[in-house]
Amino acid sequence: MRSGSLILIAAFSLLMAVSAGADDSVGNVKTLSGNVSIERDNAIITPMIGGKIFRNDALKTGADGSVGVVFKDDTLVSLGPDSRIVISEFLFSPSENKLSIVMKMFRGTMVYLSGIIAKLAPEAVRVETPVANIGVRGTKFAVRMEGNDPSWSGEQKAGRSSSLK
Amino acid sequence: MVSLKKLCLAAALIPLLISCASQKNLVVLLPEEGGKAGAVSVANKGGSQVIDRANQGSSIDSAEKQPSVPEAIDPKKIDKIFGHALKAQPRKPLHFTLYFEFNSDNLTAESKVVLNSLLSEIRVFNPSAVAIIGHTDLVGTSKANHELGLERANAVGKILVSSGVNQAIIEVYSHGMDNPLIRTKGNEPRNRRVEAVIR
Repeated sequence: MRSGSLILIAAFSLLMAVSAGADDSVGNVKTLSGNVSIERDNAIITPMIGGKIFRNDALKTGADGSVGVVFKDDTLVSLGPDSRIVISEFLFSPSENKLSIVMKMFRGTMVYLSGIIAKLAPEAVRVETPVANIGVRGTKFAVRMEGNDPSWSGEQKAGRSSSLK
Repeated sequence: MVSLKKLCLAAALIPLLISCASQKNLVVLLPEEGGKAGAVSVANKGGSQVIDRANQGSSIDSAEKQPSVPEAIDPKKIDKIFGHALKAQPRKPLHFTLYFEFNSDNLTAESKVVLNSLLSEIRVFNPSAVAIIGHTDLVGTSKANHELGLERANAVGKILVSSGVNQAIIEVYSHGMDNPLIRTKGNEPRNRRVEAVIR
């Protein structure tokens, strides 16, 4: 390789210092089985283990699919077959007072283990479903949704979730 | 054979402990490691419930009808409904805490040992990401501490890179003074830490 290219690469590496910090991904896919897809910006993506997850991603599993995701705040979400959730919000920046995690669950089965956002700001953690809102205080829970209401766009019609003391 | 519907109508007159909600929409509180459970609330236009005992669940028939009073659910049934999702649950991220010598960019002797464990775990586990988070104590302003935390996190990031960790998986953050280990104002050394999270 010519020395000029080497110098360029070295300079570029210095600029790409570790303080490049984080991208805007919200987590990673960690487990995968069967038919699993991600809808992102009107495209369908086949996820890979280690692949990044972003806000507004829709995670979808087929009849034989299951998937597990770990979020940047240690929240663990896993889906069984025939499931669909959308990651509506994820903010994990305590110094800027930005803390929130909101999922919309349309159908299927989900197991949810809450993470640091729930410890720091439990009122900012929510799972919205066609029939109810779920409020969370540092905990593990499971949800099954029949999901036979095609008119539910994910917009909240139901009442506000009561806060847990 | 009496239909469930007739049984439910009868139950309205007779105080039987039958759950008349089908469980097609169901929220179940699960025990965490160590058997403890937290709590969830389930709320809609019809009302709300709080589930605060493990293996109890509440059914929701519709967005207008109050969720059912929480009741115990057979763990075998929980496994049957949620088995696939439970099996797909990822491993919890691993956390390592590193401390610096006072006013210095050098790790303490104990933390050098922790660093070796961290590096070894990264090699074995081949993580998707290593998040490095700088924290400070509660002395000073939020902004200044945010910057201080970032400096410390970057220092650890550089150590990891020079120890061979792929820079592409390293993420550097600062939580400043806003995510303390020990909630006490002032000079608490245990808050002045850098956290490395392998996920």
